[in-house]
Amino acid sequence: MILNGVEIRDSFAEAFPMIGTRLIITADTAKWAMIAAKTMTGFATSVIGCGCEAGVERVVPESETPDGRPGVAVLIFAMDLNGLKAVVPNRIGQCVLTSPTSACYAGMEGGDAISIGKALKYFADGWQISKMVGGKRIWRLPVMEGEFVCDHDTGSVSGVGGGNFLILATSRLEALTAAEAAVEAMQKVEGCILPFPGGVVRSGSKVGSKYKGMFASTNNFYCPTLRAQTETKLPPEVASVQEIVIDGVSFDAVAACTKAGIEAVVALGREKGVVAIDAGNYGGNLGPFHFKLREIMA
Amino acid sequence: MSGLTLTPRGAFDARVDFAGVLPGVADVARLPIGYGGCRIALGELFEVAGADDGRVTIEGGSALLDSVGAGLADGEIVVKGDVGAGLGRGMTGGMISVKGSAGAYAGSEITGGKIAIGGDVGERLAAAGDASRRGMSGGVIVVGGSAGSRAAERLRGGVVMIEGDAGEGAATDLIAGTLVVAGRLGPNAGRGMKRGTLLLRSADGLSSGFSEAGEHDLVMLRVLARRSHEIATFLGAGVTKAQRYAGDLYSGGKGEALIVPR
Amino acid sequence: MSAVRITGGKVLDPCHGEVGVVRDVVIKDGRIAAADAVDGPIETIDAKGGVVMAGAIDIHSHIAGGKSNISRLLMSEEQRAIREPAGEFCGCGGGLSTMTAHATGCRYAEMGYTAVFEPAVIASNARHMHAEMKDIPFLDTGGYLVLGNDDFLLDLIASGAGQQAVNDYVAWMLAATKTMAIKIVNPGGINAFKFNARFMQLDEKNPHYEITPRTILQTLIKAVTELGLAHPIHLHGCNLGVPGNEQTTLDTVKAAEGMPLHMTHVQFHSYGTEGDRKFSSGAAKIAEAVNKNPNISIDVGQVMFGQTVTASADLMSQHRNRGIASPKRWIGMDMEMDAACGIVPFAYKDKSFVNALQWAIGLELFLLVEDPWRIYLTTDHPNGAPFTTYPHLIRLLMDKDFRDEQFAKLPKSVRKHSILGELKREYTLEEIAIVTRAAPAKILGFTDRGHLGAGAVGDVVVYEDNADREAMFTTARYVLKDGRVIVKDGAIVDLVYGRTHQVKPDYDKSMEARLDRWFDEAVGYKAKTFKIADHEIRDGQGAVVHATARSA
Repeated sequence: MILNGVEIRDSFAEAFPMIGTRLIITADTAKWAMIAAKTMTGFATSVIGCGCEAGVERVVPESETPDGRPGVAVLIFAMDLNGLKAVVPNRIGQCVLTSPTSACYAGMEGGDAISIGKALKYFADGWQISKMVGGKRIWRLPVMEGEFVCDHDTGSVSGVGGGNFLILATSRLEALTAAEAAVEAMQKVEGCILPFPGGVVRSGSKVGSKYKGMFASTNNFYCPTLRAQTETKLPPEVASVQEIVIDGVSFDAVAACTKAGIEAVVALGREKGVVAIDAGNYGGNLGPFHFKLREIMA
Repeated sequence: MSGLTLTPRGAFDARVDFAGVLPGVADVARLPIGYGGCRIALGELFEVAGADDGRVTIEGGSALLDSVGAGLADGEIVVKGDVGAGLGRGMTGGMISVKGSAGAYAGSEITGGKIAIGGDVGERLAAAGDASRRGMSGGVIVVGGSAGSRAAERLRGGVVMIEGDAGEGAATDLIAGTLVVAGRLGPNAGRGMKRGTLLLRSADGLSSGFSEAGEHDLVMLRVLARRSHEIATFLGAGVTKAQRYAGDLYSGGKGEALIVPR
Repeated sequence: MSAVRITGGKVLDPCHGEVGVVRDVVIKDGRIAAADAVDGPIETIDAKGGVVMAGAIDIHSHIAGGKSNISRLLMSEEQRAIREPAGEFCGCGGGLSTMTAHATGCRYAEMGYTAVFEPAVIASNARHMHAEMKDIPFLDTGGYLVLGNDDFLLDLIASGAGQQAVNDYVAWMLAATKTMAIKIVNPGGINAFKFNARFMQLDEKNPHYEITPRTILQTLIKAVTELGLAHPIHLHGCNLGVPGNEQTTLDTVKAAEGMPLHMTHVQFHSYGTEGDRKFSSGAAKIAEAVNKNPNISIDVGQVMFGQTVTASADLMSQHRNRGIASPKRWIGMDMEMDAACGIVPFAYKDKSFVNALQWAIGLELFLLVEDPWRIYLTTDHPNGAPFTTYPHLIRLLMDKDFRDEQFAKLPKSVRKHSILGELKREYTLEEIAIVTRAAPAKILGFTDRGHLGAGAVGDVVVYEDNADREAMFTTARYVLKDGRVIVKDGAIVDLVYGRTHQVKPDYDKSMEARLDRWFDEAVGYKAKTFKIADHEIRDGQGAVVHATARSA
């Protein structure tokens, strides 16, 4: 399949089930809401080293937030429920509770409950106040600045982690420019996050390593500098590859996000140095979710 | 949707115990109800018309009509007049609206649902009944008029909104939950209050165990206003500040009264 | 003249050796008469297939008085949850372990009980008890006066005033309170509690009066014997509920020195200290002592699983138990300096080692005491369980398979500590009739109760002869009170009131002056105010006075 001169390889992204939740973080200003959101989703690129994958989903307008202030929606994914139950209160406690003027609310209902105030209330040392109104419980934790308000808990959802595609380009600048275009388009899709720095990962990995205890290592088949030494997946004109990884609340969300990203890259076309779109997988036997590039772009 | 209509055949000579008359009950006309010291068929006191579709309307009420909607779980009861004591006592869900006034213990120990009373209510609105240590624990009560003494006594959850005045000793021993008084507060309010929130227009009437903590812009008010229509109505548009009083400090309580002048 | 003939039933009357004899029982003017005593019109009750017994008698059940009322206040949620169902003759009050007067009468009557005795009247509460008894329908009642911790008595003993003075005081108190027997609760212990003692052994001296429980017990045993009361001292001994109290109980049996003594709720006094938990059954030793000492009679105070309230004058033991109250609340109070009151709500749980073993100990006692004439069926209502559990208890006694089934449900550790599974005995219907009727009547000195011979009161019960004994005794087919049908097919059909029973032994009138002075000086109101007048009993009806050796 060739679109605008870009080859869409007959490949697929292999993704895994993850459990995730959404939080709405608000503050007196949009700036501080975003600071809290960015901080609490920091160092959360990959479950392998961070215990969770998290990112900003979207900016939430005042009219939609639980307290009428500017807000940001974040998604957090972990490999299992217990993992999620551990990281969510921890991250809110360290990054949102501490962030000026912030408040933190449930961003989804249903599924297993993930504690917010239920776990954080102890910080208030007995001065915490719970209020149950409209069937929902909120907690108020007196802090030096005033009060930190948060919901009792949030819901959770069985989502998909590890959707991805690779951009094969003729130079480093062209690969990055294409990746940026993809990220911009993909951030408009609800229900997904791109957990890596700026949404882009330059160091895609393969499973396993020659070293004991390494679960993942550099994906030498796509490393342009190694093409003389190992088997390569790169055509001769490709000099740089960027990957975009996608976690989402559902298969469809990840598929839609993948499509939006590839479309943006394809729009740039061969003229802007994009040679091909590929995807990372493990042969199809490890992850239950397969995002077939050609089907998505059909 | 007209539902079942019960029309009194005349004025009552004795107190009527309406407990058990709920939407979905079979053969309402023959349902035994208390009348004075004895039990008689409902049909002897009321003309029954229509079919039950989850809504029961009492055409014309009486201050002698006790325990209307007691234990209601779902459906709707509408009273186009007054009711006596124990309105909705122990109800868990559904909706009761009374166009007139209600007697003592209205909404006592309810755990859910909504009660709207157009007129005044007697003493111990939403309070704990005999042999109980806990009053209303969930749901919403709105009183269009004023409430008698000890409104929300031992309240432990839900929202009670009094649009008029509250009598003496409102929120006595209140455990948790929210009491909103849009009118004047009677003396000695909040004595023994453990936790919970009073939303008031003025601190006049608060018992002496309350102490002022200054004016604050509370994010919580913004949340409550969006989760409770009643609280939003009380606060008015854009109000996010309140004068905070903590109490009842005499009994080690951690409750609060938030004063939001009109 | 009214007359009733109960025909075709199998008569069970152990007093007259009748076991399932099919004969008519005739009641004339409220009393049982010879079968041919009536010529005129007669109402006939068909008892075919049924078992006919005398009305049952509960020798020990806390049904009226101060602590019953305090229990109701403490457990007001039970009063709210359990209401007497509306009916022609019922419909007021309620409760189970805190049952109110009217409901008490109804529940007892439905099971075939027609006489129930309140075993702990504190003198200053006697007026209250009588007022409440008046409101209990269907039952003949009476109270046992609590003595043994009252300052006047302890002072008499400590100062060596002599047995005669004690006898006069006891007689004066019985007459003043219109009660029918003497109960001792933790002799001297409740008084010692006020001097900060928390345990009291049989031979330990009271910190203030320096007299021992043994002395108090022996003095009062002599007093009731010399006054000629039918019922011996009704003793709630020392160390109730304390592991190892089996020794106290055995010592107490010896302390009676062959004189008649009734030991009550002995289950609570039969605990050893063997096993890993230092809590074991002393039932075998206690039963052996009872079997060997014909002067001793006991009631069991069986524990049944479920929520109840323990109410006792034994503040010393209730204070010890306050920490295990469920729900978490209790009341302890002094009563006019002469006694005390402790209310501790309690839930006996079959998964609890101690509670389950208590259950087993009670049943062991029932099965190991050989003479049914000296053991009475009680749960110490409400302390071990509400009296409404009697039918279940009867089935446990009569049906080994059923008993084993229940026993098997208990924790293994409990089964290891109890010999209940090895006990083969099953009570016969006749034995049940003895422990619930004939024997209580005998130990209380009633010659006209507990049997169906001519002259006995017309309290008669007809039960279905149901193989499920629990069902059989839960509701009677007919219950007659003084010849009137009060229960038919398990439902109350008429309202009849019983009488109050008392004794009134004579005393030296000099005691009158002494007590007048004592009341003026120590109590704060007049002795004549303290005394209950005849017209105060059952709206002027007065009490039935039973003869004693020293009656005036």
